[in-house]
Amino acid sequence: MDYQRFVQQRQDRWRRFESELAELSRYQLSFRQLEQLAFTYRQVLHDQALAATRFPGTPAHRLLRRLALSGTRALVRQERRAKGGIAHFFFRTFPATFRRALPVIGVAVALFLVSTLFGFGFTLAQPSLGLLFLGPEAVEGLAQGEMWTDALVTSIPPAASTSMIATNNVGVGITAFAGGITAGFLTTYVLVLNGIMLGSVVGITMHFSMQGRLLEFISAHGPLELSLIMICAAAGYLLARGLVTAGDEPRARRLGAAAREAGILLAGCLPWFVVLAFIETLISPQPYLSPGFKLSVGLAFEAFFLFFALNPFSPPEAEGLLPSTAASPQGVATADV
Amino acid sequence: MWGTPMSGEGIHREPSMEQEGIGIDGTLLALDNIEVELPLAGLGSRTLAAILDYLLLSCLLFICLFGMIFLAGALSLGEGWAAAIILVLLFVLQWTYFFAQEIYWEGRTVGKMAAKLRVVDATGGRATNGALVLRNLVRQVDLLTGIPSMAIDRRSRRLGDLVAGTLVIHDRDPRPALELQRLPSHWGAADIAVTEALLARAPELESHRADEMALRLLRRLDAENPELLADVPQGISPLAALGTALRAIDQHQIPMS
Repeated sequence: MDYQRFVQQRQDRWRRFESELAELSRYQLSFRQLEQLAFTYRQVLHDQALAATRFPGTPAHRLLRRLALSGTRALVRQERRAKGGIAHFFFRTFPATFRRALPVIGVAVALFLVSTLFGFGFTLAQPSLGLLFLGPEAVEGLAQGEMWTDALVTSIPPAASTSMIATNNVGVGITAFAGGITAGFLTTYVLVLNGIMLGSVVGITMHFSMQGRLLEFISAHGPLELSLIMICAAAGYLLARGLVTAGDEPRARRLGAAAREAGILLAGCLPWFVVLAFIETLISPQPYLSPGFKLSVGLAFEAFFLFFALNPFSPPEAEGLLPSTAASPQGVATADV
Repeated sequence: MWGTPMSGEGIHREPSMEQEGIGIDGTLLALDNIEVELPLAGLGSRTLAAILDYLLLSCLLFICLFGMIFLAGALSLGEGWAAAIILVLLFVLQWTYFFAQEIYWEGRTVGKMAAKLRVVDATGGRATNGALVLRNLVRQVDLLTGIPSMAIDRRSRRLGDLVAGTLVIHDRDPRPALELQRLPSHWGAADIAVTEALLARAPELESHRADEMALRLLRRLDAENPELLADVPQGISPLAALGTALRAIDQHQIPMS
């Protein structure tokens, strides 16, 4: 077929497809119209293939390639329907993912504990490390028997510190998660830095014999805050594992599956950061609340979170998630047209 | 009438039509396993889009900050509340700027629209909302690793694209479609492509250069298919003569029914 006949015979179809595609974004199509559109899409694809081999570089080829691309974008959808909405996510999907991720979470916890111990030991031996994290003013305050955390109630309005704490924590959580893509290096950095910081702060307060007040301050929010950071880090490690150990699968597919799991883990933690910010502003720094009360609030929230995350009542075989080893149709067009 | 024919030099050569940035491996398998070339966006245009987006984002953050300070003064909010709202607003803006736009505009942000780029999934289809969120959560890491990663990857993906399984492609209309309604029957695709490219781009060329090239094509037509030149009026420029001989019609000037 020569070029001119090809164009003359088929161009009405191409123009029609173009205008039908434009309509698709404006109106809800009937089933019959959609069927017609899918049929024309197939014809356009075939025309495109012909043009690509026989008439490469011609205006018809360019037009057809553009039509094929916008048709594909409009008609092919990889959306996996999430089951049941928000409640289903928090009561089924998140706990199931959390339980599967327990070994990785264990790694994050272990790493954090080791670096906390390191920071603690190092600061006891060399108190100047505390200066590094707290700054000279806070350390000077400690020497005079004042906690820097007092400022949280006295000089900063509670609404401001709540939002500051929440945004800061979420930022750390997301960084720990996103750091997984650097094969886990950045995640490890976030974990170890936070661990050393905590250990060192405990160490320096101990140096000035103020550890009681520090523990009182962190007892209400500490357990939950540290759990959330470690879970975000575990999500980062899931990503890293998908990136590094692809096994027999294409790396992209393995990484995609890992990213889905990691994303669920992160999304499940996000609302808790808000809860955390309120505890950290309203309960932790208040001098009139007894240390015992603060500690029980901290433990209660931690227990509540763990119960929620482990959710012993949800069925163990959680549906809706592909195990990362199963072959998924990713990478293959799955338009049912 | 147009002098001696030249040997058709410059006509059978493969035209450099791939100005749309087709990369290696830039194909997708569509329905029926038909290959469609994907106009993958490269490092340059993506960096440009990112720079535009970050410029806009910093303007927005700035406006937000000062707008809130002004508003807080006007509404006499306590400084605690004003600071709280500003912090949350800035945080939300910073983290949602990219994925909110990409979800709403189907894979585009303002910067991507300006650079005529679009995010699609690996099959050329619309990327899922989850994928769009994911690729932008990794963005802060990509501020460091994005450029090397795009330079290395055959499909110019940054780490966020690898995680979310997305690609960024050029999303622009090709040059105004121009149709040649009358062609010598033995002309191949390369001949058609070169002639069409000349006629379509003539306004951008220096007129004497365009005429010079048109003249070469006319000489060839004159030698091979003189009948096509029979009804071309005398005394018009070679470019206009070529257009008349081949019945060139600019599709974009014909309103579609």
